[in-house]
Amino acid sequence: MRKVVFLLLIVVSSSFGEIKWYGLNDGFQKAIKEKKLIMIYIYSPKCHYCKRMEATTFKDKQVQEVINRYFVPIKVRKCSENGMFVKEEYGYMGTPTFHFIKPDGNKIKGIFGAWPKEDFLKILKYFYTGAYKTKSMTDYFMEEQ
Amino acid sequence: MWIIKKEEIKMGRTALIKLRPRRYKKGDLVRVDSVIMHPMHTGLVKDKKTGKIIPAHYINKVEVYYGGELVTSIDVNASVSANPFFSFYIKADKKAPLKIVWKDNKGEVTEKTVKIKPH
Amino acid sequence: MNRRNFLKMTAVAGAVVAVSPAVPLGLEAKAQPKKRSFEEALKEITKGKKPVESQKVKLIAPSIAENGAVVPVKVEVVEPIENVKAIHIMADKNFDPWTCSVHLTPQNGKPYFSTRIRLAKTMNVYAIAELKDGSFIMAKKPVKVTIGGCG
Repeated sequence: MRKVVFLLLIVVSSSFGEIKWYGLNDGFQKAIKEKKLIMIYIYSPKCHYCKRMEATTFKDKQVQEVINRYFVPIKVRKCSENGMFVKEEYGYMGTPTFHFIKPDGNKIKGIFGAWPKEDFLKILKYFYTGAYKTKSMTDYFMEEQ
Repeated sequence: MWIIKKEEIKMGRTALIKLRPRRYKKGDLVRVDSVIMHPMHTGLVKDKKTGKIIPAHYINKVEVYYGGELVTSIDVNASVSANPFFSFYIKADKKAPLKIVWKDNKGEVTEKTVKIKPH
Repeated sequence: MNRRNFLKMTAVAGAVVAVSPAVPLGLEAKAQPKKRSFEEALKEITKGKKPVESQKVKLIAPSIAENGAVVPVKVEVVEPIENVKAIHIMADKNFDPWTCSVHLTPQNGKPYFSTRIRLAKTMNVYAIAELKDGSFIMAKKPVKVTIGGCG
């Protein structure tokens, strides 16, 4: 029974596509080449909220599309060497942390915590529309009704 | 009692008051932005090291005096963020001191005065 | 709260009162957090009156708060200052939904108040204006915060 469910999950998830995660180095190179924003996801395999977000928000087709289209998503494990580097360079607020970075390596902002898909889509929108250039995230969401 | 009071003044908390705009005429509405450095412990959170609950310690009353008259008061609960920020308006119709008094649930009092000087 | 904790707390409270008699007993008693429902807390503010939702109360808060510990809230009431006695801020799913109350006078010139509050989770923030005639008008705004994370 478990095997069947597992197989089904594979079929379902592959038919819906998925987020194309990159490694740290590859991701930055791709972002520079394509002039895209980078989204670094710091996770821990033990973190309940990371698992929950991966099982829900990241499984959503719209979220996958938006991330693959507008960002270069990079996934690093909290305690890996790359994870340590990212924490040192861009900061760390717990897992999950999402850092939004310009292709030149400058950080725009870090966001903490797991979010449902509707909220996460809105957060992504703040970055990919370029709204971050003119207003702080708080001001942006103060104006949004 | 006197010694305790002196002690309190010495260890007084940092409080900041900003007036917006910085220049104003008599009768103008001036926005008063205030901040006081205070942890605002809710009494619901455990100390990570000791595992004991950090007792409630929070600002519970703010009073605003303009020319000695109480013009605004705020009743405050522990769910206001740490380093509480409060902002309100004052009609600057006289040259007089504006004093804000912050009181917390342990009886600690902090005062800060700015001058209202309409140009 | 179990009995032992309660005893500890009263013991501590007692000690504080003994050292500094200037502190009224009521304040110390009030210091202990008390869980309340939104209805209970609202009833205490409005003394049982039902606040009416009104366009006159402009409540500005972020639809998504990046940090639930610091959520900016701005309230403006479109009424002459003489008509507004107080503005109350509430957050319906907090441990105690009552957050703060500002009591205004005509010297304020304008019924406006802004602060930063804590939200334990996604919930509605309420701004309730108490008018001179004893009635209450209000506005609410849903504010979303993260569902959680690990430290």
